[in-house]
Amino acid sequence: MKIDVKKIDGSIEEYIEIGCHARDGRVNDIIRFVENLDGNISGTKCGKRYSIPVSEIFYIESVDNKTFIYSSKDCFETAVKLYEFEELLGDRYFLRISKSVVLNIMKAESVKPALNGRFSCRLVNGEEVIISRKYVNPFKEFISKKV
Amino acid sequence: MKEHIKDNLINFFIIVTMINIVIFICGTFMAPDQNITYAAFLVPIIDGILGVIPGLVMYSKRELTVKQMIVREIIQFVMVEIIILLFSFGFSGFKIADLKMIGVVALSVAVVYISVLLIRFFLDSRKAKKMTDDLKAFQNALTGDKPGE
Repeated sequence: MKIDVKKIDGSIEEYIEIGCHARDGRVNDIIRFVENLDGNISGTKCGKRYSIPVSEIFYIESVDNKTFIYSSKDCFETAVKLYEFEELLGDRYFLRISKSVVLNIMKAESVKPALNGRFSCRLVNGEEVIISRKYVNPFKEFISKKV
Repeated sequence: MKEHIKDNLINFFIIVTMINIVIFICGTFMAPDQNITYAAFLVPIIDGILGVIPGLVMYSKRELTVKQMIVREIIQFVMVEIIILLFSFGFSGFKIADLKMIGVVALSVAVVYISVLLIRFFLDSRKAKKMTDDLKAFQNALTGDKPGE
């Protein structure tokens, strides 16, 4: 694939144009990558593709090998794996809180004890997610060291 | 697994302390003139070990739901009751004359079990409060807000 980069005037909005024969998986991967860099994650809902701003994501959950992105009220499916999100969004204050959930710390409101050494984290939209025992200490360290 | 063992170790020490308190209270009211030997000091430790065995055995790598946790907790409680009663009365055979004592021990096990859960909940509540405060401070530091604003 030929890559062509050209400088444009500061008054014009920056853009990326892809010239392709067909919009296949490879092209979709490039789009997804660029969107992620731009602060957006792509996800699908009812067969429609949406671009979700990272700042609007509450948490990302993996269920039966499928990954779901949760915003305040919506849920989107994505092809990106949970561990990829963990790496990709680590510096945007997203943290793994259980085997299946990566949480946007900025959307967490409070923490309360759940059964058996686990904790329940209440989000600003009222939802609750579980911080499992293994991830309690990393969570504690993460929120206390960076203050 | 490491966290699970650590948790059970904490439970063990709470159980031993609670058993000592239960023995003191029950002994004071039910057998104030009873003389005990040095071997009696081993009872809370042995009961403590027996009490954490079901918890160690029932380790699950899966993320359990709250419902599954509650069911697990009930099964664990029943197992602890059976183990302690077998250890306390099983060797001499369960006799009708021991019925009152069996009842007292069973009730004591229940009291200790609930106490452990309550103490753990109290400790976790303090931890949760600290985490909530840290979380707020963390968010405020990033957004530039002052606490309370």
